[in-house]
Amino acid sequence: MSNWCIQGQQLEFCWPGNKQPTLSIAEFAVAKGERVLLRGPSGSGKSTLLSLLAGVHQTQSGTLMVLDADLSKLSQRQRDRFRADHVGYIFQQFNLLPYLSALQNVVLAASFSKARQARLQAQNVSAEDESKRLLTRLGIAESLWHAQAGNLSVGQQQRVAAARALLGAPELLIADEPTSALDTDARDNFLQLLQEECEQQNITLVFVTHDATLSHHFDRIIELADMNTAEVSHAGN
Amino acid sequence: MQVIKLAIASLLSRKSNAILTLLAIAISVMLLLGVERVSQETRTGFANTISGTDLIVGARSGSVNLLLYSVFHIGNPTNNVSWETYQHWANNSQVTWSVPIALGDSVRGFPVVATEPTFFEHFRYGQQQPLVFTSGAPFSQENAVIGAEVARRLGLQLGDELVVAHGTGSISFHEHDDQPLTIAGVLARTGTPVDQAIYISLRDLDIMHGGHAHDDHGHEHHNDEHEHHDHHEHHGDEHEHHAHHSHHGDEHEHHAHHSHHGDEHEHHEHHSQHGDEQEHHEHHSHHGDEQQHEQPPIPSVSAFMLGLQSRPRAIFMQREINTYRPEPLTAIMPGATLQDLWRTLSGFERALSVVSGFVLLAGLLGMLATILASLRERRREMAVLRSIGAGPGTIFTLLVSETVVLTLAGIAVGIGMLYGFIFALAPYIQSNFGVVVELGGISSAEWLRVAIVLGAGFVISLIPAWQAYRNSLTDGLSMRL
Repeated sequence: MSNWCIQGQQLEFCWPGNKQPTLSIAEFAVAKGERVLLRGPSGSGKSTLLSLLAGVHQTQSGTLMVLDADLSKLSQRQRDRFRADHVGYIFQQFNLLPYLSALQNVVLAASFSKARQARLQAQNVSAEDESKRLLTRLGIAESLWHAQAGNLSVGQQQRVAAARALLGAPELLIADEPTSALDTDARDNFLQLLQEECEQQNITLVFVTHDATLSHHFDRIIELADMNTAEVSHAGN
Repeated sequence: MQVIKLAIASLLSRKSNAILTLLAIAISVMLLLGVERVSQETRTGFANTISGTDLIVGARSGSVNLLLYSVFHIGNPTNNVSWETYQHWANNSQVTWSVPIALGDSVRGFPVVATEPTFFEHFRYGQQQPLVFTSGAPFSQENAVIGAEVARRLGLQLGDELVVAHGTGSISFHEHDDQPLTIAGVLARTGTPVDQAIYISLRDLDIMHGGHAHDDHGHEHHNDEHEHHDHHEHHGDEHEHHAHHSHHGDEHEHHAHHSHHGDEHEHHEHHSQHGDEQEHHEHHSHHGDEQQHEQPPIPSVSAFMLGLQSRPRAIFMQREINTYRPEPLTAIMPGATLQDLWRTLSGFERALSVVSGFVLLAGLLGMLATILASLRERRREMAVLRSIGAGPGTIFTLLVSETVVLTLAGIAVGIGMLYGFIFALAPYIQSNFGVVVELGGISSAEWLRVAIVLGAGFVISLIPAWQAYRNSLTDGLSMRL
């Protein structure tokens, strides 16, 4: 058991149809329990890196160890299972299935992963009870649990999404600009709750944002633009 | 299981689209099964219309035509058969029973069948079932027996009077209202054309048409040739001519036969039948009409039914009757001709099946279009599912489940609609087409069609599923907004 949560070497990814790689990183590592802020303008290969970490896409060279699995060697199906079991993911927006209730959205995370169910069972708690605890913890009132997810406000939706990502205590939580749609108060509140829950359950957090004011919440700040040596177009900047 | 729950929740969130798609499939399922059901019922209805009758004999015509007018009371006989010819065959040694029928009149659209009371004894339908009276008994003079549907539709019951109209239309300009008939019996429902018919005696029909009656009837029978007229304006049939003379000579009718046929055997048959005829004559004499005493009840009949000693002989008997020289006749075996008739109708049935097949195709294509269109706005949803660990395979299964759930629901609603329609329309179909459509369970042929619909739905579902699978592979966790 190493102390590293993420250890990547010679990562390279080129989208099909592109001649130039979008991502080319010599080394990238995050320690277990570390809370890292990953900063980078759009077009810096941020989404690509996250999809490699989540195991949706596979690095085309080098190795990428996440926890104790070498994602560069696992099959598609194994990587999907790995993500279900060990990775929580929060999007910038539209995290929820709009046709399910808030509670159903949270419980859904456990239904795709036997490992998360097992961890919940080890704590002697049902997926539904734990979902309710997380929702309460993240400030979603009981009256909203059975509301259709599509009817919640953006801030509420993001908190429900955080509850889902945290359910069954995955080792790694990836958040892709989850606060960009929130106002300042909601943002600070959200971030604080997320931090507390991560600390409590010893979850490694990779948090992506381009909001410089959030730096003080994190152990370490990684500038993706410094790290990524690929010739990326900065047309968007 | 989880995936199916998701599929249903997702469908419910797009309710109006889902319901429209479902209805399109339900309607095509209803049509597919309905066509199958109606043709199935028609086929059994056909096979059940008559049984136990070995031969039906009429004037020379097509066999289907003879069957149609004699059994289904559809259309008119092209020509009639003289009473003497009927007697000749009725007295054949192979024949165990015979029933003559004369057609052409109606009561408010329902056909009138003039026959003998023995009809009720010998006629069989379905699995050799005899006719049953719900009330009353077979007719005698100036009485009528009505089928169940006639009783229901015209609101007639035992003891009521009815007036027979000339011709077979539902509106007649000529009614035999001077000879109203009393209803002597009502038949139980059979699901055959018997339900639609009114049975009267041959003599009553003849009297209505002026035969043997001495009142000065000013009827003008322009549409239909009537034997009464034939007696006066001879059509070139020699046989009947002779018969005619023999009536006026106050001779026994079978004497006339003897003058035509030197057949010793038949001669004996005639004598053995004599007892029966005496009864008949006695019966007539009650009416005190001396003149009619030895005359046949009617000069000619439309057709007659024969029961034979041995069934296998029917084919020889048929040939014999078809080659009968004195009068051109056609004899049919009802079972065989029913099959011929069904074969001519089955083309229509097949055409209907093809049309409902295309309706199904349209329904499935509609579903495909709806689901494909929804995929664009659901790419986000797919990314979310991927983020919590759903593989592209799960996405594929989700899309297949949605389509299959939609198809299954369409099938269920379609079957429900079918039963609803059968329940609502069965009485109408029966009274208008004489086809009894039952509310029975789903037959294996119908299950086959259901299976075809489901299979087609599944095949169709692979298209959006494949599309979503490929999207989820390329999109990954990125949200294409």
